[in-house]
Amino acid sequence: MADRPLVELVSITRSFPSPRGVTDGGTVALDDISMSVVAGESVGIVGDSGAGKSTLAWTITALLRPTSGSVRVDGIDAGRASRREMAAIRRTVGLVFQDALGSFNPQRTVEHALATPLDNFTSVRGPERRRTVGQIMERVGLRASQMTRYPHEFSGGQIQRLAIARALITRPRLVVLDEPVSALDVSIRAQILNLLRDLAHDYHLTYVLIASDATVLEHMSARTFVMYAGRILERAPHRELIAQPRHPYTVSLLDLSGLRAGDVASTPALSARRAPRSSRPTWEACPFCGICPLETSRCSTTRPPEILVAADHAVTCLAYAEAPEAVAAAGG
Amino acid sequence: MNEQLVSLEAGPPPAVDNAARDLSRPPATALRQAVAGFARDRGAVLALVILVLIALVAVLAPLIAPFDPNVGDPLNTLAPPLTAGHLLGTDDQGRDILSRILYGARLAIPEATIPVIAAAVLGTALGLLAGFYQGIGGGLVMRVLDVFFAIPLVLLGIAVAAALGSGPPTVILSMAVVITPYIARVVYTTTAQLKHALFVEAARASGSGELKILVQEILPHAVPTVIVYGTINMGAMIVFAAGFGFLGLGAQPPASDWGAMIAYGMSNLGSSPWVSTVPGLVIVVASLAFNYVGDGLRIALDPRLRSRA
Amino acid sequence: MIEAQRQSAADRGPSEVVLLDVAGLTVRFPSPDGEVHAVEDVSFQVRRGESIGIVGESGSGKTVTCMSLTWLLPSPPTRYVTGRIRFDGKDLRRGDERSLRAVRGRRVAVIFQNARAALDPSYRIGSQIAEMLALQQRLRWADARPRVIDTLRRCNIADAEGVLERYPHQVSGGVAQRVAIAMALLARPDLVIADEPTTALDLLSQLEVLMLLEQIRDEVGCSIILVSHDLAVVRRIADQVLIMYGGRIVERGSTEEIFRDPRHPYTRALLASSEQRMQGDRLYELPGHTPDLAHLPPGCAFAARCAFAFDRCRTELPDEFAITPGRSARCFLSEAGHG
Repeated sequence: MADRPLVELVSITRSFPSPRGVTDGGTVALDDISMSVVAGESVGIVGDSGAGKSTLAWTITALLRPTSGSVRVDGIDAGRASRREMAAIRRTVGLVFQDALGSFNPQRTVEHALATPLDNFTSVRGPERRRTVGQIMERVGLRASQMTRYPHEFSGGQIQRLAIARALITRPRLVVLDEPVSALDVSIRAQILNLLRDLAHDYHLTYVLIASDATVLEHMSARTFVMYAGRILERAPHRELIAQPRHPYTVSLLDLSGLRAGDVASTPALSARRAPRSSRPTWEACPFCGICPLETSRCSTTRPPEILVAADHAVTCLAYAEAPEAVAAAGG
Repeated sequence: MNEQLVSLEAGPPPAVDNAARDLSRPPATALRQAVAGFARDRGAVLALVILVLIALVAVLAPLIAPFDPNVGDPLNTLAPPLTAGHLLGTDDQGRDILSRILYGARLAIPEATIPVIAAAVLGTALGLLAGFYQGIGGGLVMRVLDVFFAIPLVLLGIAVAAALGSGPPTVILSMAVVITPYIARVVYTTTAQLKHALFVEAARASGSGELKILVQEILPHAVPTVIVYGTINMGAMIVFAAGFGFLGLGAQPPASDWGAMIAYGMSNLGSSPWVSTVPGLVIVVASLAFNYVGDGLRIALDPRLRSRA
Repeated sequence: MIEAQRQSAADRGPSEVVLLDVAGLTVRFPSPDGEVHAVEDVSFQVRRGESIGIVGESGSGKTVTCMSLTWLLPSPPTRYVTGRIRFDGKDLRRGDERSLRAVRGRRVAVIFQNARAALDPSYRIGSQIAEMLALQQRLRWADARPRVIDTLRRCNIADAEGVLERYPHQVSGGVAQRVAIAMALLARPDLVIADEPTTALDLLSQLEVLMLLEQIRDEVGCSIILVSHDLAVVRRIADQVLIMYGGRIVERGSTEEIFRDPRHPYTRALLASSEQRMQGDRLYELPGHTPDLAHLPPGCAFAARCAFAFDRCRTELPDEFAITPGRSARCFLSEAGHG
């Protein structure tokens, strides 16, 4: 029962330079993000495509270095880790990539892919190596005899299971899953989600689950973060987020996830997508200015701060900072 | 029938295996698939048989050659094929052509295969390293190789012969040098593309170091291409080696070099065409055999073409 | 909200005129595992202005069905065993290239699942649209361009001029999908076939695609065939739903009926999965995997996964038993007289 969080991100910013010749100062994929994940408390990250969710996933697993800020995994500063410490980090945190099939080498058997972490992080060799691979495959619902096959021989659901198996084979404490079910048939999704729940229980895992559809996080996430354009717009315990979303973007996102299709055309979530790439928000003003029901006069010129609106529930919104009572009265 | 979800299970849940429907075919190891794909191409299989025969001949020549290839029978010069005792006739010194062909295989095979194998090993290594690490070193390596691209094979052979003397080592060295850039470039391109592949990042996430990634993840992509390319090149090497021999840069007389044999027969081409023609035909057959095998390998090793064959 | 939309669609309503009539379509392929029975005896009709949804998992035969509507699959190796397709009253014969060419693209537009793959990677997007319009409607690019840009914008492509100049690989999957839809809008077809247009897109992109399809339907007045593995996706748009499993239609009916009172156990399982219903403290899970179309069992293909299956199901293939006119289920539980 450690006090320190499994993963701690402090003021993470990650920008990508633009291609040569384009002078727009680059793209800021993550903009001053701070969050932590505590063992036993799975976390959900929801947001539209382009919000920076995958970039965040790669940063948490130390595959991508932040431009500024620090990433600590189990206390180790990933930016200054020695080789041995880096190996310890890789062992602690596993990643299931969004493109599960693409994350397997088409020219090598799945046995090789699954055994690679074993080879690198453990001293398991020989027949025991094969046995371990077989066991983890069976545990995720496949047959050990299939380890000699190639990735393209498996269906979408099976590849997802293999990706999960690979992430689990060295018994990590945290697994980051980037859109684990969005490419799967609706009928297979429940199989995978149930599997993840069972595994979390059996292997004492904590998850960071990334999704664009909040309904996937139901029953999986204890705390959920809503992301947009590189910032966290709202963070709260999942139940509370669903019951009492405060940020207008969150409200519309949840509405749309239910496919209840309210007055769809005018929700902030959809309108926000229509802004062309070149005017990707730099957050010097609020990007929802102009389409937001809570708009104040300063929204177009001020970077919205993150404000605590209830215990453990924060929103990135100027309106809440300036006049919380007025917002509450307006039913926000 | 409109009950609630609870009754979706009217009885015990069916005993279903969530695990993959087990494919009825045996596991598709690369080897097995490649062999199956290859076997479907009859031309390739026939060509392979021919190559195996040639190799056997090369090994067994001393045992099966009817005559000593270097000893001529002055009484029996320029005998046409199907003369008693000389299936393929004799040359202007009375040496049995069949025996010389058989012994010639002992020169031709190494001269065709060794350069390609050496080039494959060296070229692959260079291509992998240059493609993966890029940078100044990588660029330099590829530029140096580009220089070798530009050198005509024969000129290089002559230069090497001037330094080292004529003979099989000269032939082998010259051809290896010329082929290496081709292979290196092919491997370089593959590596440079795959460098950014997602499975490479996944291997990194699995803890693999850069060198390990290069060998375990990227090299397997280059191997099939190199095998195919190399095999087809061996067909060309047969011809080039013969060319060297023809020019006198290969094994020196009285050695039975196929190319040199063609040269010997040139002066009698009109009256005794078989002296040059027979070795020429053998060269063509051997070269084609390598090409067919290479083509068969190409189809066998490319998963997309394999299932259609 | 859905109800209100359903209502207005009903007012607008599809006509009674049959636009597409598919009868007895059976399609098979050779494969190393044996002959794949991709589609078995599929029959249905689409009226003018009507939208139908075809729902089924991967490997249910829905994509092959769609591709066969204008005989798009190369044959051989595809084996069109039986099937008669009538479009706008005329038989669409498989070999008749001329009439097929007149229909494909112009009167029947297909939006493929992988939109980018349907675009030629060697040409800019603008060129391809120009070519399409020139061929189909004899429009000159100079005349057509403003309309194209306008259509792209209405499909929520923000940088329409830029997209025209780009190559397919330079735009995101969502944009490529919207370009495909825009091309369908521009062609003003009688029938739009959208094969899994929302799969692998993020949630908001999915909604936008569905809204665009609605827009096409409303503006152009065309019929739509929407194929998906997710029942919820077809709910917005479809008047009629066909559920496919193992290459056959296992249930059909109006959208309202299917959602209110699903009869086939597979339909009920799909609905439960889609709505993420719980079973105890776990999500309801349809166990097992899709059948091997090269080795279909003798009886009902769903029997192995069906919680209600009895012996007869495993040996005898059920017919499509009528429940009410236009409503049927291929299941012995729906057989008249069954309890």
